[in-house]
Amino acid sequence: MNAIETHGLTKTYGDFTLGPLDLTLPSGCIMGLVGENGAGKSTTIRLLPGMTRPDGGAATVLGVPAGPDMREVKQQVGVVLDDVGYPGSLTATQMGKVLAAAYKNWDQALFEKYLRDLSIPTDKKFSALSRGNKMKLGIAGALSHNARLLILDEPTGGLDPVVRDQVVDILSEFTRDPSRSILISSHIVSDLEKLCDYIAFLHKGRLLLCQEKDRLLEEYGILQCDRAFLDSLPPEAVLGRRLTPYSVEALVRRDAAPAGAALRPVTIEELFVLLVKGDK
Amino acid sequence: MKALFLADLYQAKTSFKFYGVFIAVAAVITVGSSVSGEGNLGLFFPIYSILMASMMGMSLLQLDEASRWNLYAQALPCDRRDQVSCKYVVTMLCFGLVWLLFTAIYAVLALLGYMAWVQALFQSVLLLVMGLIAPAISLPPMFRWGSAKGRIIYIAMIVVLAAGLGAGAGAAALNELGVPALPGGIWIALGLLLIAALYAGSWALSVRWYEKREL
Repeated sequence: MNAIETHGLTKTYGDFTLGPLDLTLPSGCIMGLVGENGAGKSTTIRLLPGMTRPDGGAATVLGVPAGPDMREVKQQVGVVLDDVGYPGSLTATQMGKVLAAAYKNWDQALFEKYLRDLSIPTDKKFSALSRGNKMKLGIAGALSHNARLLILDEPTGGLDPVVRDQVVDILSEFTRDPSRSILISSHIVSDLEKLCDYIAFLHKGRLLLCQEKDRLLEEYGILQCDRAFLDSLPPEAVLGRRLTPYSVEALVRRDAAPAGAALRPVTIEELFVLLVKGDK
Repeated sequence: MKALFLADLYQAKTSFKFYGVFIAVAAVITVGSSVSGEGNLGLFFPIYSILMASMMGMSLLQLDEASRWNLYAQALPCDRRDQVSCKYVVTMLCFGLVWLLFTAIYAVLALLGYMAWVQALFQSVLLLVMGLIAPAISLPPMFRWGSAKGRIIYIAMIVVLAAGLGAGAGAAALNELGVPALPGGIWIALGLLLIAALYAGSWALSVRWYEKREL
């Protein structure tokens, strides 16, 4: 069973339209959602647990259609929003009690362990916590009820590199159990590169690409060459280019590149930037 | 729903500590003014306290919207009906406690001869009606259009009520109306039934509107 499936999912806010979105996240895998601000990452994440109603298409979460009848399946889903969204006057301890009342499988000992390991103050009001501590508390809350699926919106945003690394490790550990999956959006593409099995690129509400990370890295490469050589390439081989007075770099399909062309491996960040901004 | 209720109780406890102090002061003033014969204050402070208590659901909804808890709560295993119901239950709980307190005060004052029993009964019913009307009218628009617009409607309603009653004049007018004009308490019973129906209808309307709202 797939953890998440969307078919033709659309949502319109004013002049912005997300989709149609066709995504599949197999169980046991981690999918990273990459996109610039306003690309539709948060909207996608809110559509899945039924926090926002779609205008068209359908989504399933752990086999259950997303919408008002997700009450039971939400027991198995952990969500972290970009602004977390816990009540401002509650402390971490109180929030633990609230979440314990919400989830049948709440593991208080695990929650307290995360509070300790992530150095989250337990007696400060949520509104008085730093952005990093708010996010850490959100992650601790989402991880402490034995969820089978985590849906995380920018969970590493605002965290310092050490804690970010710690969070990435916790998330990697979470998916050791093959029945667990994660959908995660982030601006910090290096985190996604470390973590994800699948990468989905969103740009202005459209899904540019959704593929296994390793296949993306195998299929595409960066060609460094001169302008004349670049112009000689078949247009379908070049997905994006970066021209400076000193160099020419192009994102190319390895299978369409001429034999003998010197290609270097592409990073996910380069892939995204060149796909979106590369002057074709 | 238990989780939402617990979150609301924690928020109410930390955000409205001053309210408990105000109620205590209002209770003392009510007793003092009734014993000394200044009956107007015996109604003004209870009404004010009841209206504040009946705003609890609205105040909590406003806090939820400010922290985006109203959005996050939908990721929990509960639905929008639970979110609405929680606010109505918390309102009834807070308002109910304050109403019980002042009803008990009126009963003691009547028992000690500082107030007529009919007046005590009438004032208690008046508090009940006022305390339930305010959230019944204000909560549906708050759930439909958000707390800011809902609060404007609430304030407009208070202005209308204040204009109609006025603390002192209202109390005097109510005394002039006199409970004996209400045969066998039928009017009181009808009024209570009406207000209960209004509250229940408001609850159902809030659920319906909130389920349609785009957050």
